[in-house]
Amino acid sequence: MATRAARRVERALPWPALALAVVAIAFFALPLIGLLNRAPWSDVGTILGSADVRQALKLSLICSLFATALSVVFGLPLAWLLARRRFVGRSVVRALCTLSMVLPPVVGGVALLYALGRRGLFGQWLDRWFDVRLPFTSAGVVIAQTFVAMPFFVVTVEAALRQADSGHDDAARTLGASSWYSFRRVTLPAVRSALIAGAVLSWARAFGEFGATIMFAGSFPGRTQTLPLSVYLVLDTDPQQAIVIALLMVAVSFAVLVALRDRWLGGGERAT
Amino acid sequence: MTLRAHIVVARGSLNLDVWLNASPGEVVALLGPNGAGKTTILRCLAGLLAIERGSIEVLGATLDDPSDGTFVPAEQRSCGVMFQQYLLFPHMSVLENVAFGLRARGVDKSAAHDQARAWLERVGSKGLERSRPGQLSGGQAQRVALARALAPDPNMLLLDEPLAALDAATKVEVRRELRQHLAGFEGSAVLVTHDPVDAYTLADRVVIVEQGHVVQDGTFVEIAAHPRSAYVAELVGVNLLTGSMLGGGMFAVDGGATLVVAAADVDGAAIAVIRPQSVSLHGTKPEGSPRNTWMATVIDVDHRADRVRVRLQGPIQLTAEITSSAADALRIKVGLQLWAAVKATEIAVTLN
Repeated sequence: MATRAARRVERALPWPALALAVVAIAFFALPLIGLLNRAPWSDVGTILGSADVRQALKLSLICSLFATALSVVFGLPLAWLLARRRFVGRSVVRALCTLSMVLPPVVGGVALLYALGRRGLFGQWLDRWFDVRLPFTSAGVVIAQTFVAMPFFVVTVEAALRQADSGHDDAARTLGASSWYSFRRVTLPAVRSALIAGAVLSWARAFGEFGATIMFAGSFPGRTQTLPLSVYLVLDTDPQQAIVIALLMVAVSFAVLVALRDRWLGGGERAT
Repeated sequence: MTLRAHIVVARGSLNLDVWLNASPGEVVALLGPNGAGKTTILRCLAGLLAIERGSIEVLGATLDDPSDGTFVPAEQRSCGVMFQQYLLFPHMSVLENVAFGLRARGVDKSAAHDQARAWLERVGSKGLERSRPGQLSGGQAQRVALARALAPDPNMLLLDEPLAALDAATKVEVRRELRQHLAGFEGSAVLVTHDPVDAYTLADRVVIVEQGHVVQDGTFVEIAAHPRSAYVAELVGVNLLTGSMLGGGMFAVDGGATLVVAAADVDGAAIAVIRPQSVSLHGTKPEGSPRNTWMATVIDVDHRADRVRVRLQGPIQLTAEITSSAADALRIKVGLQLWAAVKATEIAVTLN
């Protein structure tokens, strides 16, 4: 029996489909090759070691991690609400909370500015009552990144919560578990791999965020100038440096995506 | 009375309205076709679904009564539930699953694990503590689910199709164990099944539910003898004879008689299932192929449409169902002596 199963041959893909798939792979590989080809390999060390690149990298990492933390803290209850509770207007709420995934980020940034800017609808109260000014600060960067990144977490976790059997929650309740105890010990572990995947996806989105950040937070070195912003700004003045920063971002993001893939597969195998 | 319930609730096209009582230590089987509302009754009793009218009372405490707004949620009821698909928590070990109910109620970890180990031993699953539910066979998962439901010491036990997911060979063994655990359980137990053999072997009392209503309530033998509708007759009106297989295709009925059956390869305690339609009646000793013939006395005659159900006393007590014209030809009446016959191939034997 075992040998029969092992000898089962995978069906070959029809060759036109295979050819198109290869074109698609090339489409994604070529820009990367172009970037690698133009990279000033002898200067990589000095450019990466320069103060402004290190400053931008540090700012990018810190802001994107804060944005990820906010996405998880607020996104998890939101995903649970959308997945497990029925209420009037749920589909409207879901569309509203995931709108920024499809919106051009620049539009999101402008909207944030009119809402939370110093003269914005709510920003003026923040300024007057709490002396809080978000635009053109590092906190503003985090807000802009969270705005575009959180939906990735919400969508991923909501789908997993929907698929997870609510029967297990029923079983936990009949065993005397409060809703919090059941959520913590039954529901969360069941969607563990989606939590990790959602967090990594939203982190990657925050790390690469450009449009909303430049509109809402501007581009002040050391304060709001993250890596994507500095790539854009030095492209005219110092294309060598732009390429190196771009490669740095590619390397970080690529490493995270590869690690995520393993995590997904690993989680799947453990679950069986 | 441990359990006193009047459950009225609408679910889609189902309008459920049932009365259900159970004494301490009593096992009640809810028997009925799919979609009759059996599982919905269990969900209401467990507190996973609120009733719309009526009331649910356990040990004198009201758990659900829409008329005064009382509703005790599932987690505050003391109600062990074994779900049809068991619903063991897949990411926890077997031990953690069984300890879950104790931990949720605030028992500290080592005490909960000690008790869970003791429960696993009682259900015959020692050695599985560290396994994951995904690694268990059907029978093992059933035992673990039972241990998990019983570990918090509930005052009521609800079992939804506890044997339906098992293959035939495992079913017999697990059913035997389940009967022992139910006998040792002090609260009342409600069991949902669509298999008359399960109801007969596990329950003290059977409640037949059809389209959201109780159509008959009594012991299995009472209902089988006097089914109140053709549907009930079809469902439970089978003759179930307890006894044991002697080998060589001989089945010894408890009480002395033996039957020839077409199951030569089974051995041990068993139940013979004979459909009333398979019992033929004759004025004189029948000749020919039937291997089982005996003299019997008619003790009850039940006319229904074009069929007649005839209750027989003799070496083997059972019910025969014949056509009205055959009954007329035999001049069937209470007290008549006649011959009963059953072909060996018409007797199904299931190990008990």
